Amino acid sequence: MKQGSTDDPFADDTATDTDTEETTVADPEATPSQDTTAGGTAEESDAADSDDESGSEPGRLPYIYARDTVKDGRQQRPIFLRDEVEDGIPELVGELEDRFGENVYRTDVMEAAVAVAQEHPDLLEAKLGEWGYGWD
Amino acid sequence: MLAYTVYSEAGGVGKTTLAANLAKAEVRAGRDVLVIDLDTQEASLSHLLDVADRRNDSEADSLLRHMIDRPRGPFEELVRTSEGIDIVPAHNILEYASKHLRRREEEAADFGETFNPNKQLLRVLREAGVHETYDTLIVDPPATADIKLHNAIHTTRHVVIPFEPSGKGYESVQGLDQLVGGLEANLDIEVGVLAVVPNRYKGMNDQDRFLETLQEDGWDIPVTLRERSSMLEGCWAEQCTAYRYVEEHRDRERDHELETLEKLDELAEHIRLQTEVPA
Ligand SMILES: Nc1ncnc2c1ncn2[C@@H]1O[C@H](COP(=O)(O)OP(=O)(O)OP(=O)(O)O)[C@@H](O)[C@H]1O
Ligand SMILES: [Mg+2]
Repeated sequence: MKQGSTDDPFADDTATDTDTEETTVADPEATPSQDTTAGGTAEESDAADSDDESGSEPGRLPYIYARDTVKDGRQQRPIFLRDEVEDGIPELVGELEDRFGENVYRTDVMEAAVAVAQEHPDLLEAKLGEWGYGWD
Repeated sequence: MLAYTVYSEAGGVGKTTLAANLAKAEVRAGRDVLVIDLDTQEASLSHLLDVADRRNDSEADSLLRHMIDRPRGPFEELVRTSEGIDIVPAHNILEYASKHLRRREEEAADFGETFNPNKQLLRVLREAGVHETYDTLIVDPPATADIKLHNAIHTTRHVVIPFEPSGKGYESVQGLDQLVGGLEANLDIEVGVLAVVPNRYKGMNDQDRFLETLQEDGWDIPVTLRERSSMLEGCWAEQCTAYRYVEEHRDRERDHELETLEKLDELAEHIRLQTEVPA
């Protein structure tokens, strides 16, 4: 506890869409293929043996159907983006919505982008190379 | 949006009195104010501002229901208004807040989701867009340090601390520092103190000594509120703020009472200025 003012937990919200200025860290449930993930829950690997009395097996539902709201289990993280990258996000979300023929959350797209990058470091390497990494 | 919880570890030091009158001072300054009452005691802010009539109604929607994702209606319908202050009154179900929040946490865990029972008030208020509707949010928490207090501090990140100028009062500020330190670590937040407010000051030398010690500890003490029993007891009897009490229930103005109202205005302004300065 310190004298004076500190963060405003309401500040980083935008008027219409609470998801537009946030991205998230990787969620173990979004990357079930990575069994090396330390945060992976027992439920994922044991899903086949688990005998849930309720009949339905929520542990097996795909991530977007298992959650109550888009923010469940996610931590909000600030992210620094240049305008040209940020401006491309709505277009990317739109493109994905066209492909799926349904509404796609920006929050899911942002986390998926990180998850894809984690699975394909070579793609990142190329992009970071364009930005000047690896110059000797 | 300016947001703070009026809190002290000591009971009966004037948390509710201060919360209600600072809210009114904010309204007088032309601001839109929301007060959240999390205290289920009879002598609550909801009672003081005469909006407690539905606290027993088990059919009524309540803030806690929103916090556990079981709302019965929109957030706006929880809000009552008194003297221009918007208030979410305390409902008796809040007494079982901990039980309900923990149960919801367990249920979420069964579905592989996380649900932090200390962070639900902020979620509800953000989802309701409270920060777009109001200029000031004030929370009056219960005197005991429980899950409702955690939610309050997690939501506002700022506290205003009423302080009884005595050894016991001094201990309570130290105790609060420890408690808040624990919350900061657990919830990964930083908490700021906007003001420490000596209350029921009688001008005694040993009281001055405690004020000096607090200032040496680095706390900001913008005003000191004197003992005003007659006016403040009157507020509880008439169910109104001190401003309205003086205006409507006093047949003549008393200078010392007007002086206290001025100090409350000054305190509210001082608190506002603290948060307007960029960090
Ligand atoms: N400056 C003051 N002078 C005289 N009486 C005061 C003063 N401030 C508060 N009181 C009285 O002290 C009593 C307790 O005040 P209040 O209910 O605001 O405290 P509280 O900290 O909210 O209590 P609790 O811990 O029970 O929630 C009330 O009767 C109130 O009128
Ligand atoms: Mg009180």
